[in-house]
Amino acid sequence: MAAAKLDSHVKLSITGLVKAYGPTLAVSGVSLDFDSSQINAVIGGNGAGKSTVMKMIAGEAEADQGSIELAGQLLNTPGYSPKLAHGSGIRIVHQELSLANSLTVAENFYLEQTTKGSRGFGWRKRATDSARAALKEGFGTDHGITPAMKVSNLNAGERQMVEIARATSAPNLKVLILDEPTSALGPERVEYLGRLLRTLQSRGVIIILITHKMEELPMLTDRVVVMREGKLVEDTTTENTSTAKLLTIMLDGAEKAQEQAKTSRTSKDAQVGEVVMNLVQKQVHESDLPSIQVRTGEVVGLLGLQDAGQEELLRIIKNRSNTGKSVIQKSAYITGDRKFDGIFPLWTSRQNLSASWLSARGMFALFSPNQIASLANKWFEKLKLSLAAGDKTIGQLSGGMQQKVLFARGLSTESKLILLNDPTRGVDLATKIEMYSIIRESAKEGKGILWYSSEESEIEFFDRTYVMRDGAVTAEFTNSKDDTKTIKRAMFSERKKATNETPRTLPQKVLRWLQIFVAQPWIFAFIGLVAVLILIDSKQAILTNMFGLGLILTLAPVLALTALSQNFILAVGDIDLGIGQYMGLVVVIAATSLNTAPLLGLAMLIGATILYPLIGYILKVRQFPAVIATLAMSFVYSGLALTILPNVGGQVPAWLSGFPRIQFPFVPFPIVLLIVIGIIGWFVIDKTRIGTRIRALGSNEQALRDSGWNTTAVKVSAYALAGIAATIAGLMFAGIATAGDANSADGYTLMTIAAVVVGGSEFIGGRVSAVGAVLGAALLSLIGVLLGVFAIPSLFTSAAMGLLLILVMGLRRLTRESERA
Amino acid sequence: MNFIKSGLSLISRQAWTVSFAASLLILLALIPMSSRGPIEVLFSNFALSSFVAIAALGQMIVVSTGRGAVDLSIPYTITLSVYVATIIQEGRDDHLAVSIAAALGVGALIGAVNGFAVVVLKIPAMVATLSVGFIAQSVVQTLSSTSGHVGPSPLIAELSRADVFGFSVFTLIAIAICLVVALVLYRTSFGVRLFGTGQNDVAAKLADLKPSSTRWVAFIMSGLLAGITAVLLGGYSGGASLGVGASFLISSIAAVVLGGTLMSGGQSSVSGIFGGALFLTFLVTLTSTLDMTFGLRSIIEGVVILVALGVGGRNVIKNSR
Repeated sequence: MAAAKLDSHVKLSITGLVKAYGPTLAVSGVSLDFDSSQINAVIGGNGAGKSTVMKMIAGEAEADQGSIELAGQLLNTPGYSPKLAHGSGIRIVHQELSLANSLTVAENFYLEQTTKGSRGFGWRKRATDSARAALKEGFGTDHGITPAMKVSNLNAGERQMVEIARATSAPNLKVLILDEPTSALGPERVEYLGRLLRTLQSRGVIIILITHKMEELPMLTDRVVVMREGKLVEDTTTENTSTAKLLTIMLDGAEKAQEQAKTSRTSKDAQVGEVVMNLVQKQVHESDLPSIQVRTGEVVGLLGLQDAGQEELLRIIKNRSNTGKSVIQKSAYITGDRKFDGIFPLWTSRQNLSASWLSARGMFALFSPNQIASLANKWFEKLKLSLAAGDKTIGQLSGGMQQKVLFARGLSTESKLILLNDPTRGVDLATKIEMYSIIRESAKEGKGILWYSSEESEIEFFDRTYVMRDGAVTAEFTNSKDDTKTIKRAMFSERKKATNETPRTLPQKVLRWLQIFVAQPWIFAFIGLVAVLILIDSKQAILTNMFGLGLILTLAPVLALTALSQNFILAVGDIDLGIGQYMGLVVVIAATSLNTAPLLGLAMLIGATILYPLIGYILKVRQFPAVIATLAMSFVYSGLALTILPNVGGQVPAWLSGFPRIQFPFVPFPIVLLIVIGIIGWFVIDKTRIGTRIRALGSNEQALRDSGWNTTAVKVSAYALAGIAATIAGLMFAGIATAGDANSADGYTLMTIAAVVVGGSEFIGGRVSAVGAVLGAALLSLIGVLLGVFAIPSLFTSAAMGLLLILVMGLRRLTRESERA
Repeated sequence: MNFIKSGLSLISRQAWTVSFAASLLILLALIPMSSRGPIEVLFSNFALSSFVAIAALGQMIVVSTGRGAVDLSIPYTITLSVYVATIIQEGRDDHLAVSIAAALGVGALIGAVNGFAVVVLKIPAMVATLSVGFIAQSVVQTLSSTSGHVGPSPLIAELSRADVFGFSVFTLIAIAICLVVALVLYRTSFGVRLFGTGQNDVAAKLADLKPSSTRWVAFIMSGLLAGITAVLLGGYSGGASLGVGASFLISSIAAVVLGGTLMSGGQSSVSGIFGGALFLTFLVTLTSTLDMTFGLRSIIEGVVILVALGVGGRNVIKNSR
C-alpha cells in the first residue's frame, strides 16, 4: 500500500508560465510543482493570475511561454485543448458551471464520459449508478439530489455538488482543479468536501484549490501558494501560516505599482453636494448597512470579492427598479465588460460615442451627421483620442480606446450619477492613469460617482468606500480616516448567511415533487385538454364516448407526429417553417408513384427524407438562420410537389388509406396512435443517448463540444429524426386524405408550431417535451370541435388558436416569474 | 486607377448592389424574350415590386430589433387591412380618407398587439406575431363571409394604372415611403435606438436606448407599413380576397435577406429592400416569361433565397469584425 502510494506521487510541474491579455501581463513567469502528497491551495486577490494559471493547465488558455508537464510528459504542445487535458486526466470545475441545464444529473454524467461506460445498452443505468455513487462518495446521502433530477431544478449549491461529483467520477482522474468550490456550499457540505478530497488524495489525485475563504484553508488544505500581480509571492504549509499573515502577503505592495499614478484625493476641497442616490437595502443580516448614498462631487468606491454582487447592485441602481424608499437619479453606466454590455459592435466609435446623447433627445428627434461629428470631436479632444479613430469600427480600437469611447458616451448624457462597472479592466497602465483623472475631473464638475473596482489598488482614488460581501453592502469606510488595509480586510470578512440549501423534511419533499409536477412543461396542455374535453362533454356527450373521440381525434395523430418532428428541431435550437409543405410533397408521392410504382415511390420518399439531414448539415456548417433556410425549403418542397402532381388528383395505395380506418378493441385507434407517438417520442428524446446529446446541443453546445462530441453529427441526426417523423406524418395524412394535393398540408406548418409551444417546448433549445407535443396536438385538434359545440362559427378557430398561444405563453411567463420571486 | 478600385470596393460593400446587379442580369435576359421594350419591362417590374418593397420595409425594421425577430403577421395584416379599406370604400371615393385611416389604424393596432406580446409578455417574436396573425385571420374570414365582394375606390384603382414619365404612381409612392423610412432610420434618434437594440440589447438598455419601447414602436411601424401596402394593393387587385396578402410572408422576408439586412439584427439597408423587391419581381417575370410551371418557379424561388443566404452569411462575418 505504501509503495503504491509513493508510486502514485505523480508530479504536475509548471515552469516559467507567462500569459498576457493585450497590454496586461496576467501571469509573468510562474513555476510550481504539485503532487498528491499535499492538498494545494492557490490564493490571491482579484487579478492575481491564479485562475489564468489554472486555465492554462486545463487547456482553456494558451500559455505564451513556459511548459506544463504531467508525470514528466509535456502537455502544452501546440493545439493543447480542454479535450486533450481531459484525456490526460485533468479536470477543472469552474465557478460558472458547465452543466447542460435542461438535462438530468445522470445525463450530464453520461455526456462527460465519452470513452468508458457510455456505450451499449444500459448506458442510462450506468450513468445513474455512477452519478449516485459519486454524489454519495462526495456528499453523503442526505443531499437530496437524485440522478433523475433536472439540473435546472437544482439550486446553486446542488449544482456545484453535481459538478464536483462529476469531475471526481472521471475514471482516469489525475489532476483535479477546483475554482472556489465552496462558494455556494453550506458548512456541512464543506466538511464532506474535505473528506472527499482526502479520499481522492489517497488515491493519488493531485488536487489544486482556488479559494477566497481564508477560514477554510486549515480544514481543506496542506499547502498554500500565494499569487500577486501574476507572480508567485509565497509558498508555505498551511500549518506554518495564519490568515493574518496571508492577507498581509496578498495585499501588501499591491498599491505600490499605482503610487505613480495616484492623483491626490481632493476630499478636503471637494464640493460634496446634493444626494444623487440613496439606495435602501434590505437587511438580511444584522451587519448589512441600511442604505448607501452617493453625493455630487464625491467618488464612492464599491469593493468586494468577485461575484459579491457589485455588478447586480449597479444594474439595480441603473434600472431604478428599486424605487420603494430609495431615491435614485437618472444615471449613466460605464462598463468595463465592454463586449458584453458596452459596445455596439457594428458601429464606428463615433456612432458608439453619440448613441446615448442622441437617444436622450427624444424618440424621433432629427440629427445630422455634423452634430455627431462635433459631439464626437469634442470628446475625442477631451479624452486625447485621435480623430481618425472616429471612423473605425469600435472593435478595431484597442481596449483602452474603446473604454474612452464608453466614458465619453456616459459622460455626454449629463447625468449627475455615474456608475462605473470596473472600467479599467484589461486596460493598459497609461490609459488607466488618464481614466483616474477623468473620473476625478467629473466629480469636480459636480457628478456623483459610484465605482465598482476589481482592483484593490484603486482604493487610493475613492473618497468613501462601500464593501460588499455575498450580495449585500456590509461596511462603509471614509478613506481619509480609515486605513486601506482595514478596508481590504473587510472584503474577506465573513458574513454569516442563510445557506442556500435547507435540510428537507418529508412534507417538503412531497411539496417539492408537487412543484416538479406543476413545473412540467406540458402541464398547461394537459389542463387545457382536460378542460376542453369537459366542455365538449357538457354540451354533447356523444362526442366524448369512445366512438365520438375516435372521430374528433382523427387528425390529431398527424399533428402529434409533425409536432414531434418540430421538437427534434427545436431541441437543437432551430425551427422548421417548411414542414407543412414537406408533408404536401410526401402526400403527392404517396398518391402517385407509391401507388403505381411502389419501389420508385419508396425511393422518392427516402430521397425526400434525406433532404432534412442535408439541411441540418448546411445550417450547421454555414451558420444559416434556420427560420429563413426552412422557409426557403418550403418553396422547394411545394415546387417539387407541384412538379410531381400539378393538380389535385391521384390515389394513395389501399393499405395507406385503410390504415386510419383500423378498428381497435376498446380504445379508438387515434388514441392508440397518440399514445404510441407520445411514448416513442418521449423515449427517443428523453431516454436514448442520441436524444440526450441532441438536448445537450441545444442546451449548452460548448459543454458538449468540450466533452469531446462531434456537434455537427448531433445536429444532423436531430434533423434526420425530424425528417423521419415528418415523412410518417405525411403518409398518415395521405391515408386520411386518400387523394394527392400538393398544398393540402400547408396549414400544418403553423399549426405544428402552435402545438409544440402549447405543449411546453421552448425556442431556446434543449427544452422540448414529446408528451407535451402530443397533448398540445390533441388540444389544438379539438379547438374546432369545441367551437362547434358552442355554436361559434368555425371562422374563429384560428383566432382561438392565437389566443390560446398567447394565453399559454403569458401564463408560463407568470409562473416562471413567481418561481423566481 | 486607385480611385476606381476604391470606388468599386465601396459599391461592392453596399448590400443592395448584389440584388440590383442580379436584377440587371435578369433584365438583360428578358429583353430578347419579351415582346415589350426593355424600358417597358423595367417599369412594369418597378410597379409590381412597390408592394413587396413597402411591406418588406416593415419586416426589415422588425428584423433589425435583433434576437431573431421576424414579423409573421404581415400577410394577415395586409389581407385584413385590404378588407377594411375596401369595405369602407364600397367601390366609391366618398370615404377614401376614412378608409385609408382605418387600414393604417388596423395595421398599427396589430403592430401594437405584437409589441405588447413581445415586450410585456416576453413571448418570442415569432410565436407572438404568429398568434396575432391567427387572430387577424379569423377577423378576415368573418369579414369576407359577411361583406361579399366589394370593389376598391376608383381613385386608387385609377392611380394604380397611372404613371408619371413611365414610372407608375405606386412606384413613386413606394420611393417616397422608402425615403421617409430611411430618414427615420438613419437620421433620427429612433434609428439609433433601433440598431443599438439589435446589436446588443443589454448594452442598449444600459446606454438609455430604451430597447423595450423601441421594439414596441418597431412592430407598430411594421403594421403601419403593411396597412399602406394594403391600401395600394386593394386598388391594384380590384378588391379584397382571402389570399390577397398570403405571398407577402415569404416575399417580405426574402426581400430583407436579399437586400443585405442582417438577420441577426442591428443593421439594415433601405435601398437593399428596393433591390431585393425588384429582384424578386424580375425573377417572377422571368420564370413566367419562360413559361415555367408553377412548381419549377417555386423551386427556383426557394433556391435563390438559399443562395442569397449564402451571400448574406458572409456579410454577417464581414460586419462583425
